[in-house]
Amino acid sequence: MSVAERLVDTLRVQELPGMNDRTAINTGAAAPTWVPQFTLITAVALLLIAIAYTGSRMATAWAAPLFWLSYVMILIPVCVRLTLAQVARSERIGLVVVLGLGLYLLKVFYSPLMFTMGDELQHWRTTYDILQTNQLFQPNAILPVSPFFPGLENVTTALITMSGLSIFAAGTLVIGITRILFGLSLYLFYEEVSGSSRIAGLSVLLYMANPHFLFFNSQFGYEALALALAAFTLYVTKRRDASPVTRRILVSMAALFGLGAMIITHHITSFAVTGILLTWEGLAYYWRATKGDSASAATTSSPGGIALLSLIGTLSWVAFVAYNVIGYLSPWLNGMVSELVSLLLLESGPRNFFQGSAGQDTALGLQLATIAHVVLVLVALPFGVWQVWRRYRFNPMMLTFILVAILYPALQVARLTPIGLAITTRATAIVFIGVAFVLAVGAVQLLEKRQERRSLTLAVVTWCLIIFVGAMASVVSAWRLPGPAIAGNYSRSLDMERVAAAEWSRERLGTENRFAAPMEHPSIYVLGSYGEQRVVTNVADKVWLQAVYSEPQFTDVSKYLLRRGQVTYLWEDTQASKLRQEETVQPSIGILEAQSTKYDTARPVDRIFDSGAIIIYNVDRYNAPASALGDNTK
Amino acid sequence: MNRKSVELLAILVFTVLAIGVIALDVAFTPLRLLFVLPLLFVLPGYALVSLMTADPLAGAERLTLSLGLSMGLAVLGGLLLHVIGLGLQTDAWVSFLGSITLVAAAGALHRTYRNQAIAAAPVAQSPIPMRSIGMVALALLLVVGAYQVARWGANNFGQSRFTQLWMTPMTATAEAQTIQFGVHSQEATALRYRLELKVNDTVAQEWNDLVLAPGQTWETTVALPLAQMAEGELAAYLYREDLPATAYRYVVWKAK
Repeated sequence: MSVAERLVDTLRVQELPGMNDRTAINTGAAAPTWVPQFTLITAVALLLIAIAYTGSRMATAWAAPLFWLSYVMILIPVCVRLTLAQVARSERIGLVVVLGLGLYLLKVFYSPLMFTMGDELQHWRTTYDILQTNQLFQPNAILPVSPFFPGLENVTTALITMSGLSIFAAGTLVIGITRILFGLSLYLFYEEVSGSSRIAGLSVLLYMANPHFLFFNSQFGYEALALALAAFTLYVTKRRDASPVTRRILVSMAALFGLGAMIITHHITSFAVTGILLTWEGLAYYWRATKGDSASAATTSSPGGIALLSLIGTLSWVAFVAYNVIGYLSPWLNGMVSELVSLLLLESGPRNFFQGSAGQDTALGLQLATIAHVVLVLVALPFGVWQVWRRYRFNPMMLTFILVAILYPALQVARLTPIGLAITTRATAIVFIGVAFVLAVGAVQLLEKRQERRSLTLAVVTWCLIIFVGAMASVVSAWRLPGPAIAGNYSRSLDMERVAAAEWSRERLGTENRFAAPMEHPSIYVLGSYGEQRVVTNVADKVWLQAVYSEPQFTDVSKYLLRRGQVTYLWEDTQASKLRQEETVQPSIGILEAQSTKYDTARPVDRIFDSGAIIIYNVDRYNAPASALGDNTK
Repeated sequence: MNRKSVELLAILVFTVLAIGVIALDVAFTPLRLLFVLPLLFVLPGYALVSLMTADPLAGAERLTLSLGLSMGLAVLGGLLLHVIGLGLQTDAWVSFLGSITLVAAAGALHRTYRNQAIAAAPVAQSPIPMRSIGMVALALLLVVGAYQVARWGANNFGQSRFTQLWMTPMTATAEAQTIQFGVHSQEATALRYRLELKVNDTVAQEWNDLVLAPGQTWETTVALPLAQMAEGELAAYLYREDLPATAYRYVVWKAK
C-alpha cells in the first residue's frame, strides 16, 4: 500500500456512518470533525508560505520549492476529506470556508503593506473620492465605470468611517469577509441543487481550483464582492422554492437584497447571473409547458420573478446610471473578435501562452502543470456532463449548469489572443460555477458506482490536486512569488519608489494635475490613486498618449497629443521604457546612474523630478498658444 | 426567558454599545473594530432573519443569510444615503445600520415573547470541545505570526532603494526667480552627496557633504536673477560620494 493510499485509509477510519444525509442538518447530532486540525495545518502552511515569500524577496533558491510544498500541504487534507463519502456536512462546510480563507491569505501575504495591483488602485481611488466627498459617483479617470458600480466602495467606506481603518486595512478585511460569504453561499447553493453535501463540498473545492479565484478575485476589486453576492443570490433564489411559507418572505427579501447589491456592484457578474437566471427560468417554463401537471417539483423549480427583476434591474442600472459601461466593455469585445478573426484568417499567430506581461518565461514543469489543469478539466467535462444529463436532465437548474459548463472549451479558444485572455480569465469566474458542479457530479457518480474503491478515491484526490496545482502554475510567476519590482508586471511593478514619486507629485505639485503616464503597469494606477492626479487616458479623454511613449523620438505628433490632452506633467518610467525596447527587463532594486530620456532634449520641457526609475517632466508650456512657443510645437 | 430572547436582548445591548463606541469616537481601533465588524457584517442581517422567521435555522444557513443580508444592506444602504442626501459619513452609517438592527431585533424579541408558547424548538447545538477551540486559537496565532513575517519580509527585502532629486519653481519677482531644490533619501544606509547647480553649463553653486540618512530630506531655495535665466538652462546634478564620476540624479529647467 502506498503512502498516499495509507493516508486515505487513515482518514477513512474517522468517517461517521450516516453523516452524509442532509436530514442530519438540523438534528444537532454531535460529530467530531477534522476542521480544527485542518485549520491548524493550514495555519502552519501559511506560516511556511510567508517564509517562502520572504525568501523570494531575498531571491533565494529555496523559496519556490517551499511555496509549492506549503501550497500542497493546504490542499491535500481538504481534497481527501471532501472527496470521501461519509464526512459530516458541518465538516465539509468548515473545510470550504477554511480553504477559501487560506487561499485568500496567500494574496494578503503577497502584498501585506499596501495595494499593489492595478485594479486595487483603481478601486482605492473610488473609495478615496467617496471618503473625501461623502458622495457617490465622483469621476475616476483611471477606471471611469468604477464610481457607477459602488457596491464594494460602499461597504469599505462604511467600515472606514465607523472604525477609522485605512483603505488598505478595510479593503483587506472586506474581501476576507466576502470570501466567507462566497464559500458558504456557493456550498449551500450547490447543496440545494444537488441535495448532496458531498457534491456540494467537492464542487466548491473544484471551483476554488480556477486560476482566477486564486489571485484575481482575491484582490480589492468589485468582482470579488459581486461574485459572493451572486452566489448568495443564486442560493436564496433556489432556496425560495423549497422554503415553507413561513420562510418565503425572508428568502425572497434576501434574494432581492442580494440581487440589488450585485447589480450595483459589478457589471459583468450581473449580466452573467441574469443570463443564468433567465436560462433557468426558460428551461423551467419549457418543462412546465410540455409536462403540464405531471411535472415534478424539481422540474418546475424556477427563479420566477427574480429572473425578470434581475433583467429589469441590470438593464435599468446600465441605462440610467452606468451607461458608460457600454463604452468601457465594447472595445474589449470588439478587440477580442477582431483578434480571433485575424487568427482564423492566419493573419496573426496565437499569443505566447507562457510569457508574462514583462516578458518572463515560465519553467517547463509549470507549463506542463498548466496544460494538465486544462486537459484534466476538458477530459472530465464530457463525462460530468453525461452524468448530469443522464440523471438530472429534467431539472432546469442542472441543465443550466451544463450550458454554463460547456462554455469552458469555447473560452479556451478565446484565450489564444491577448484580449481574449483578459476577457476569458474574468469569464472563468462565472463559467467555473457550472464546470465545478458538473465535474463534481461526474466524480461522485464514478466513485459511488465503483463502491468507493480506495484506488479510485485516490485517483480523484490526485486529479483534484493536479487541477489545483495547475491552476497555481498557470498564474504567472511574478504573481505567485513576490520580489523586486518588474516593470510592466500587473502585481509586481509597484514598489516604494513609484509610490514615493506619486506621493511627491501630490505633495509638491498639488492634486488633480493633468498627467501623461505610460500604459505599462503601474504608472497610470499609482498616479491616479496614491498620487491623486488626473491621469489623461484614452478611455476618459479619447487621447492615445501611449503614442508619445512608444515613438522612439519625441516628435511633433507627441507635442500635439500632449497639447490635445492638456497635459501639464509627463511621468516617465525608465524601466517600462526599457521594456518597450527590449521586450524583457530584469527586476531592479536601485538605479545607480541618472537615466536620460528622449524628453531631455525637447524644448520647452523641464525635468523637475528624478528618482532613478521615475522622472517627471513639466510640459505645461505646450498648452500655451502656439505663437508663444515658436514653430517647434505645431 | 428562552435562549432566543436572550440572544436578541444581547444583540440590542451590543448594538447600543456599538453606537456609543462609534459616537464617542473611541480612539482605540481594536475596540472600535470589535463593535463595528459585527454591526456592519452580521447584526443587521441576523436581526432581520430573526424578525422574518421564527423557524430554527441551521448554523451555516443562518450565518450565510446574516452575512449576505448585512452585506446587501451595506451596499444598498450606501446608495440610499447618497440619494436621500445624508452622504456616506459616520453618523449616517451608524444611524442606518443601528436603526435597522435595533428595530428588527426589537420586533423579533416582541414576537418571541408573544409566541413563546408555540415557539419552535431551537436547533440543538453540541458544545465545542476545548481541544478544538485550542487548536483554532493556535491556528489564529500562527496566522497572525505569518502575517507579521510577511510584513517584515516586504519591509526589509526586495524593496527599491532610491534617492529623489527635485526642482520646483516657486515665487517670481521682477528681478529674480526663486527655485526650490530638494533631495530625499530612501537608500539602505546613510549616504554622502554633492549637489551641483549649473546655469548655462557653468557651475553657479555647489553643496558638498550632504549626508542623508534613510528617510531624511534636504531642501534649499535659490533666487536666481531673471536676466541670468532668460536664456539657456538651469540644471542641478546630484552625485553620490561613492560614485563621483557619474551624475546619480539630475533635473533641468529650460528658458525656452
